[in-house]
Amino acid sequence: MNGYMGQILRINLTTRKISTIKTEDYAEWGGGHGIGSALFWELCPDKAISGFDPRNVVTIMTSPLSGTLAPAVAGRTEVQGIGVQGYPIEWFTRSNFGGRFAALLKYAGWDGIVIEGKADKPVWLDIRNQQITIKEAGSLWGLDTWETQEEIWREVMGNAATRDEWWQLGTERDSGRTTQKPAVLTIGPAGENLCRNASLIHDAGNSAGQGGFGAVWGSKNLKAISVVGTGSVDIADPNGLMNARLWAKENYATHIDNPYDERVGLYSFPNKPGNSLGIYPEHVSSRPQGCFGCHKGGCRRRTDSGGNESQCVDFFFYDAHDMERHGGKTTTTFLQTADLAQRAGINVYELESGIIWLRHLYKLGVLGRGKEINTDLPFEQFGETAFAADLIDKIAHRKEIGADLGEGLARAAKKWGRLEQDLKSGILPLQYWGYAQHYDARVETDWGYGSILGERDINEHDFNWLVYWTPSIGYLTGEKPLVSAKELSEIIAEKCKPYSDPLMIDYSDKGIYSEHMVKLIAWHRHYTRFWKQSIGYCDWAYADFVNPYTPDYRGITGEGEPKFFNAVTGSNISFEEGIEIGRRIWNLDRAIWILQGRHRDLEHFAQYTYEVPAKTGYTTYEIPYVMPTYENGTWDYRVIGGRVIDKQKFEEWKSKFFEFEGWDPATGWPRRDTLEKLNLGHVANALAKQGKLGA
Amino acid sequence: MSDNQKDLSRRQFLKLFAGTAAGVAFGGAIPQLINLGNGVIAIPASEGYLLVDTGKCAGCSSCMLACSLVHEGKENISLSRIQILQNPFKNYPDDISMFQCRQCTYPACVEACPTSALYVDKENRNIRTVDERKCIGCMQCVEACPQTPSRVIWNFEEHHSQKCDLCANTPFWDGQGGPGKKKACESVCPVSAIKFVQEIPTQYGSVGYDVDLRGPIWQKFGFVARRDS
Amino acid sequence: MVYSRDLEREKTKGGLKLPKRISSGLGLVVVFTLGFYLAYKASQLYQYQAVFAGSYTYQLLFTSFSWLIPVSILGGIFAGAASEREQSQIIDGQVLRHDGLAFLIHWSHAIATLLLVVTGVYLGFLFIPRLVFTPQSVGYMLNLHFVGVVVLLFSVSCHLTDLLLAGKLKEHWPEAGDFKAALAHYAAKVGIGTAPPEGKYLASEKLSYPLWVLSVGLVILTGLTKISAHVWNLPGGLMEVATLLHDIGALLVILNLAAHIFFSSLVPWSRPLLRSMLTGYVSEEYVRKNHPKWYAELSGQPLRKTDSTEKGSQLPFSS
Repeated sequence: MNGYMGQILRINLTTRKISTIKTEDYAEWGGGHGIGSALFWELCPDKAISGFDPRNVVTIMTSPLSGTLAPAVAGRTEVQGIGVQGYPIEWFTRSNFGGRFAALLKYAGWDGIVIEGKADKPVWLDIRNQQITIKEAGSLWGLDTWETQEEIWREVMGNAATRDEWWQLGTERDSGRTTQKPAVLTIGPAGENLCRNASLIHDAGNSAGQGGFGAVWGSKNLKAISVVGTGSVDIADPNGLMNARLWAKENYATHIDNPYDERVGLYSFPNKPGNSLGIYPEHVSSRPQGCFGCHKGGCRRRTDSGGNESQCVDFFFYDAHDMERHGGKTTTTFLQTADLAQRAGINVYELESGIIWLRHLYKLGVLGRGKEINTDLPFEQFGETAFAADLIDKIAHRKEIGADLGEGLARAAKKWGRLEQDLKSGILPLQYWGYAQHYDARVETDWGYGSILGERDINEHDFNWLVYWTPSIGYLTGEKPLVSAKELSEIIAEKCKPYSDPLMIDYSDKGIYSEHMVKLIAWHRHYTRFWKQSIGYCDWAYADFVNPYTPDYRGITGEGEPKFFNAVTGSNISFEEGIEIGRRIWNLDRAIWILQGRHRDLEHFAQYTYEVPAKTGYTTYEIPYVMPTYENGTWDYRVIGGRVIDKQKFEEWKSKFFEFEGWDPATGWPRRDTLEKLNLGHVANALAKQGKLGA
Repeated sequence: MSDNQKDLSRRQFLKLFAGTAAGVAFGGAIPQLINLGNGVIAIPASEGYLLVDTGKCAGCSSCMLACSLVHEGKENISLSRIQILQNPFKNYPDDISMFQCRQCTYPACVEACPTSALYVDKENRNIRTVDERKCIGCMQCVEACPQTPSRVIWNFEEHHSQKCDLCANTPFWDGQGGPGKKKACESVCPVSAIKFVQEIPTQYGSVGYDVDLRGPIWQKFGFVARRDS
Repeated sequence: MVYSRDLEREKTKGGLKLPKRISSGLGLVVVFTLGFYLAYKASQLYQYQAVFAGSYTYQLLFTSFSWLIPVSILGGIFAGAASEREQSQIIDGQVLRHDGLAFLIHWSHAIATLLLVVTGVYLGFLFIPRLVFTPQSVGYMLNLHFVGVVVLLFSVSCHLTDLLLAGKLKEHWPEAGDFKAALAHYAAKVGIGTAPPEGKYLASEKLSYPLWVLSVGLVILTGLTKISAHVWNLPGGLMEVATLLHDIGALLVILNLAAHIFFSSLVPWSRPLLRSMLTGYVSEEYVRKNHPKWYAELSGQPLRKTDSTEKGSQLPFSS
């Protein structure tokens, strides 16, 4: 089993029993998410429980490519289980994070970790190769995520923690030298205090935020998992892997000493080093920073201003407020606030929407000192570090309004009696399943539809850079995107096999309810379930549809993904075969949700999506939506802001989608033959038992 | 056989033995005197060196993965001959260290090796490298390396020392070494923070080996162009 | 060396030869104590190259004391040649089985082999992982290995010299029928059938001798090759082969040693021989019962077949 380590670690915190599961039995799922779902299906018999139930099973999975030279995949770890963030139902969900964890877990000899039960008191897990110890975490409880990691380094490495030196893992056998620090995944105070928006943090800025897995760990009394390993990952074709990496670097990645003369837009595979999307004050010097095996180093580490490894929304939850406060320029505030969120272990998406919402309520006179919702949050310092620090502290320690906000925005709004009205007006932008609106379902339907048909904000930028950001930035700057809307539709059609339909990216009022959009959503769900979430290809680099370095602007997607996978594992699967496994995983996930209560009647957006036209500056992102549309026989990037979703048309579109997937349009439940064709007969049986098989 | 016969033969043998013992003992010492096998007396300088820019490195560790892949045919960063260490809680530029073999002009590792297993390969630009077949695993070279962490890697899976050979011998990669060919770490580095040169760097301190590999384009990406610390 | 050169005096003295055993034993204690001390001292790190701060090393005895190798071989040859063997004879119901030289050769060989096996295992070979990690501890094991090598070479060269000069190889080498005899011997021990009449050396002892020659010979030849690499620059291919064969030889030695320890000291019936390896003597009664052929030689009486057929008299697992 090249690429795989052969065993998955299984920890029952209640009984403190440590056992192993053979990876071989699950290799058909690829790795990561696929194996995680399959394990959850088996090990969590009652799926309709709360995420806080000790019977909830959390899987932490790597892929065969973890810890290998395959670009932008080696460092990613997939976390699954019943999350506590979803609303109204705590869906079985996923999150993932980068860094070094997956690689070191593989080197320690494990393909993943399964966590069951609940410890009677705080513990942490110490993994050093095959030596597994459940240790008391009394002294770690209460520490922030960074302090916890440094404490654990000292515990595991001894004196070597402060020196750049080889250190020995054990005394038993000849397999333990490394210079690396253990990779620690930990919760902060937010997780300990069961905040439904608590994240898992690794190193400075790698976080599994969505889903509230920090709180799930907290409920299990699990503070941290530390892993260090010195073993080898076997590679089927080392020469092939090395040359594939160089091929990707040469043809698709940024040429560091001779970069492409950047035109407008954002690309996936060849993004510029250090492009973590923050707008930095000029005096802050920094380096690019990449996860294990990353070919692009998209994040940064900085001198003394903070924000190490953070990027994108870690900054966005506060950078606009920082700018607004400081005369239109960012200061180091947004870097410091990113650090505060990482240290407390809070999901920044909740902070982003939460801060907007709280400010709306403050302006409405509903919230503030002595108001209906009484809080001493210092709104007079809004935009300064102090405001964010106070809010983060209140949430993480469940103080004052933090007691309610720690239940997540949806549940806090419900408690405050504001949920319905604020979702209707849109000042509380929780568009899908209680998750913050990321990209707007009213305009970018790949994002919105994917999220509502799934269980969370999908956070998959496969199309987003090209269909939204690039043309929208171009619209503002007056520059043309690298490829025209027509060319883009052709490239996407070529890459999105087996559908190959150029109209898939028609975001016009007509297109978004069409059968073409059905194909786009289906392809996207299947592609990401396998290639990104099971094999681990990073969202910042894949899918790579358009690439400025190739003569025909075709990106690496389609050729790259299977090339690296096959070189590592020695198998010979095609891109489409991988997508077909993705369909299988998507159906298994769907079945789990159905057992949790999923029905098509639940699958609708927050009310504002149907009533309030999308406009800039109202919810989250600040630029107009300019997207490819096919209208009057021509392709172009056109402004589509100000649109709402027509509920009736969306319901009809859902029926088309269900039919396309082989699910019952009346319920959204898979039919038996659909599942059986995917070799999921046992899943069909389980659904049938509860009367939830599609007709 | 009788006792007499035996005694006689023993006495004869003793006489013969006494006569030759001194000579043989002296002969045994001769190899010690003419021991030039280790090449201690004249070590030619390496004709290649790896330079790094620790302020440019993105910490992705791809060089470690590539090194282990082309030399061992598997991924094991503990066996990589270049080591990247990082502490994400430290600030730039103290958060990352790159440790590559310096191919020292006076290689303590070569001198320390008792069996000539760590030797100067005259056929491959005088790199200091290990003949794994001759290594007895005494680890003297590991300790003799004056750098910390040691640039001589202890291969605990196969029980021998190994070190950077500038990709002269990469059994798992056809892009391999020798003069003018590719180095795995240099070719894979996404930010060109590793560079192969032929000139001997300054041996004292790290300034000769940790250099500015940035240039004006680096500034275009929004980073500092020159070393700022 | 510690054994007596006064052959004549030894010969006429008769009776117990404890002084010679004690001096041999003391000698071994001294040699190994010194060896352990030297090995330990040499394996301590010291600053190696003054110009490089942080460059440390330790002394490898294989290199710094390599001259001891020929010296110990020559010493062994000398001891083997100079030493006069004592004849076995029945005195006061006691029979001398192992004389002073046998004591020296056996125990020097035994302790050296044990030391070599233990240090070899710690250093790791073939599929056995290395159990020491720091250069100091590796150095200590290597240096102890060297101490074992020096003593083993002394012991083996002493034994071979003695054997060749005395022409006694035939006594140790197996003959036709020994295999069958050995089987019958052990069958009788567990109560099946009757034991065949044995000579001074049991058939099974003789059978094991070539195995010892093969395994020890292999480790010594390959070991000497490996040691030579500390002096000369030998080709890598040769070293690879030498190392592999050395490791295989070591494995054979370990198997031989395990069998030897089991049959010569763990099973109850081996106790008289174990005692003799320490004191030199077995009782006349023991010889008469267990080695009738040898008894016949010693006593000048014809071989009595019934003597060795007392069934169950020494059942191995009866107690």
